[in-house]
Amino acid sequence: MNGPAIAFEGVGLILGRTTVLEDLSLRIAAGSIHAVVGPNGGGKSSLVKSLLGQMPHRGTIRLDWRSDKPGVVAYVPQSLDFDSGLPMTVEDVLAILCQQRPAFLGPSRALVKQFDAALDRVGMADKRKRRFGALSGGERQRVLLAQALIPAPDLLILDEPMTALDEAGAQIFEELLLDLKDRGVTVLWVEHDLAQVRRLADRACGLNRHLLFDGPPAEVLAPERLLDLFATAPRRSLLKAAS
Amino acid sequence: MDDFFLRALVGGVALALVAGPLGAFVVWRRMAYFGDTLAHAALMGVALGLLLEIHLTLAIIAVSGLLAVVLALMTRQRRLAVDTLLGILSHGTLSIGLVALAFMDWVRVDLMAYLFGDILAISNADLLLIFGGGFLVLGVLAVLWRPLLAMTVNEELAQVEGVPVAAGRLALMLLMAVVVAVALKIVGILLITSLLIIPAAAARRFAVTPEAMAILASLAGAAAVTGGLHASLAWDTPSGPSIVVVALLLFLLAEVAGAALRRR
Repeated sequence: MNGPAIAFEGVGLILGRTTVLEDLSLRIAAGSIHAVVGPNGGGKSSLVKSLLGQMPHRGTIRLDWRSDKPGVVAYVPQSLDFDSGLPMTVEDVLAILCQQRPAFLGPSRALVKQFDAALDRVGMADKRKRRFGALSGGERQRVLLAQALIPAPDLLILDEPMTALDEAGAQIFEELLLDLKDRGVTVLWVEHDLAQVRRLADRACGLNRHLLFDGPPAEVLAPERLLDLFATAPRRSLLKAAS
Repeated sequence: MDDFFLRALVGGVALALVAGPLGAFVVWRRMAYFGDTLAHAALMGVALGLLLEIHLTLAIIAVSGLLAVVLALMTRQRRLAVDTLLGILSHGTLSIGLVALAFMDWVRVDLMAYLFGDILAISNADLLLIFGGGFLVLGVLAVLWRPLLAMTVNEELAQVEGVPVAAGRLALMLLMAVVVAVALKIVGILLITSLLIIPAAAARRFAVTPEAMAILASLAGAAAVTGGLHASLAWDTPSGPSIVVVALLLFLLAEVAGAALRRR
């Protein structure tokens, strides 16, 4: 199974009286790393949540799988806003998110092997018995990356996964991303680090309520475009160019 | 031991055993204010029950359940911040309940008993309701334990893993509504949430797994009910506040013991 193509057609989102996304149409190619950049409040995370079915959006969002059976979708959130006193180890968190049987029975043998492999891949193998709430932000982010690898994903949705990562963590993330690309996984990647996007993404689109541009990062992330992207109101000319 | 006291003790301990695991979720998911809102709405349920002459527990479950559904729908719309919405509904429903009761001059209502609990008022029928409601809540919690824990770690992740998050959230609210309804006579409207929060908060110092925290919270709650009811009987103090004071002492003891253990 390889990753799906994703089609956003006329997607709009209004929360309360605020228009978060307006008439957004975008196609993500199967097996590509597609980055979404834009200012805070520009609608990047809302786009991801709409894709995950967690926002009451208008328009159509379609996953075009290469076979009749849908593949595995994995998601890495920006951060975890949870009670740090929750008495769960790293392994417990993986078990809760990755298996159906009751957590107190512990993970199955097959899953333990997968946990080992995933934690090893993100450099957290020696911390599997650590209390999850006691981990640093970067360590938690690594565990979130690990959970996305169990089972092996076909579509990976990343919402600013590098925010809390240190240099070693960023290196691990980069290797992981390139490996997933080699395996044909589709990656939708919300990111604010434009240098990383230029290096790793196949395409990048700019979002500030509207879709402002979409193309190869080297072309679309030019200084002139970025000025418009991070300005509070997008220029009319740029909107026209994107449509 | 008097019959009424034995009934209160059995009912109270049963309630504490149910409140333990549910209270753990209230603490982890930071739903304390939500619990207060449901509890305050219970007074509107009392007024409705007296007006329509239906069983008060059922009326409270109906009103609290309806409030849970309204809250679930309104938080989805995101027109108002959740705590603002809870504040409006909490005080609004409590006040409507009080005003409605004031108009109903054909019934004599012991308001203090509803607000702070009254162990003298617990009948065999109430005990049946506590056990019935308790088994229902524990059964549903056992089935939903894993999905609810996944939602507690992160709702978006849980949804991606196939957990019906909106339904889970509503189920948790409805379970709280049932506990509020059956707990009314023992701890009273104003203090119900404390039976959910304080034992769970005391237990978190010592728990190494979520299940252990649920069990420890149940035990701490049962100890608070037993101690509080005996104190209430001995010194003629209202049952609800007496239970909460003992729970508070247990919490402080747990904090001190927990800090001492960590220093070792």
